[in-house]
Amino acid sequence: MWTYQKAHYAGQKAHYAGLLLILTLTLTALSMPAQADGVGAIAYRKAVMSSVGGHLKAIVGILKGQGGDKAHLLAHAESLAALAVITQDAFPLGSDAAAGKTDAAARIWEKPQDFKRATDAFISETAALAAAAKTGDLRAFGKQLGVVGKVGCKGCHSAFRSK
Amino acid sequence: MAVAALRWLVVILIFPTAALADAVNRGQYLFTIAGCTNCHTSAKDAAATVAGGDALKTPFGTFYGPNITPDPATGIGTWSLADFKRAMRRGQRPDGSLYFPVFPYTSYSAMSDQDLDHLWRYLQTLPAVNKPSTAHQIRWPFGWRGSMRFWNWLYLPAAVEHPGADVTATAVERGQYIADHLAHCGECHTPRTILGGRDLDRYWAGGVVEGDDVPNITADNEHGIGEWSTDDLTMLLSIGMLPDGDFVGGSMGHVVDGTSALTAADQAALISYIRTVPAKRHDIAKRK
Repeated sequence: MWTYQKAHYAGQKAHYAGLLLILTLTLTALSMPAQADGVGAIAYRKAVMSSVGGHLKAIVGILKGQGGDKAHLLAHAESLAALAVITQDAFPLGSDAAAGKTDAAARIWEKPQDFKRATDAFISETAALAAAAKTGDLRAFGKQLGVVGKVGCKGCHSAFRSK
Repeated sequence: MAVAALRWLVVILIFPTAALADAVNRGQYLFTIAGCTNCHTSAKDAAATVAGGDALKTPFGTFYGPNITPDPATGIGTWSLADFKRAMRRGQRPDGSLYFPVFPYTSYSAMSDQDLDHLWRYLQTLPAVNKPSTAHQIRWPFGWRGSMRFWNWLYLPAAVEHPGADVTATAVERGQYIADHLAHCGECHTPRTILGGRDLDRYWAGGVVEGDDVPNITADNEHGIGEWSTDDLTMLLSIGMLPDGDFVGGSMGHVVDGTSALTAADQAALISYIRTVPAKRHDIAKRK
């Protein structure tokens, strides 16, 4: 009995220690974005942008008949729409060219309202692309893809990226 | 009799305006694909079309595209068509003094009379903006405009109209006219000599503008766009997409604002010309 209790007590201690460890890790993880260095934010942004480019390249390949399945257009379009929302949060303060190697222009942080307008356009145009994919109308989809490219991608890069 | 008179009245009333609108539209087309706003409109005040642009840093100093709106005091409102043509083809101001070649008159010197007429007519339709041009900050000793006489002797070709100004020219000729004399691709994509002239032996082999590499766009497989398909070029010129799914930005993004307005025939012509440019090696970082 006594042995059992001691063992039980030790088990509880391990249990609390485990909880404490998880709590510590969680708190550390939660506090990381606030402390994240610019280099990490830039690397994350590049990863997001590469994903955007990957989906666009996949869509163009499907439309041209180079490979892939038309049935996958919707998944790519919806991924783009989801990533577009993320891009709006991918330019935290302190992730500019002073922090690390990036082509992101200083205007992003100098003219936050203009930048918000540009990323809002990216969000709404990719949402429209996903909507077009749902209808299955390939012509409308192709046309909207052009709008996404010109307004969403190039429009923003022209104003807010150095090249 | 009355009907015939009425018909004449209709002809007189309608056709001159139709022709004018056509000339203005043509002019707007040229204005767009030549990308005039890229240097003459400020990103900070995009509504003030061609009322003066932002800084362009060069090894010779920092230049600002001047106000070319029809404002008589601060723009080109007092100019004649002949003044405009002399500026565009010979790099000369109405008073005879010389422009610095940061203004690409060496590219425009082969523009046709008719295209310059149309461009001029379109410029006249833009709102006059009273805004003094920003003075250039030129490094000693390059600020002496007289030295441009020597520079022009070296680098300014004779003002001979290029055959591609005619839309019925062959596709390659038409494409060359668009590339060299309207969109002036080589002003950034051709590296420059120590005197700031274009090094035509390395035509389109890539250069450096404002400290950034400008890609090699010759057919070179390793450094240029030799591996690009015609589709790749179409995607770039029409929406700015690169083969890897990335999109051009910065100044090339603005260039694509112009090329995306090309008619289908002109875009095809431009691509057919790009395809003829021989490969040249030049170790400039490649865009994929």
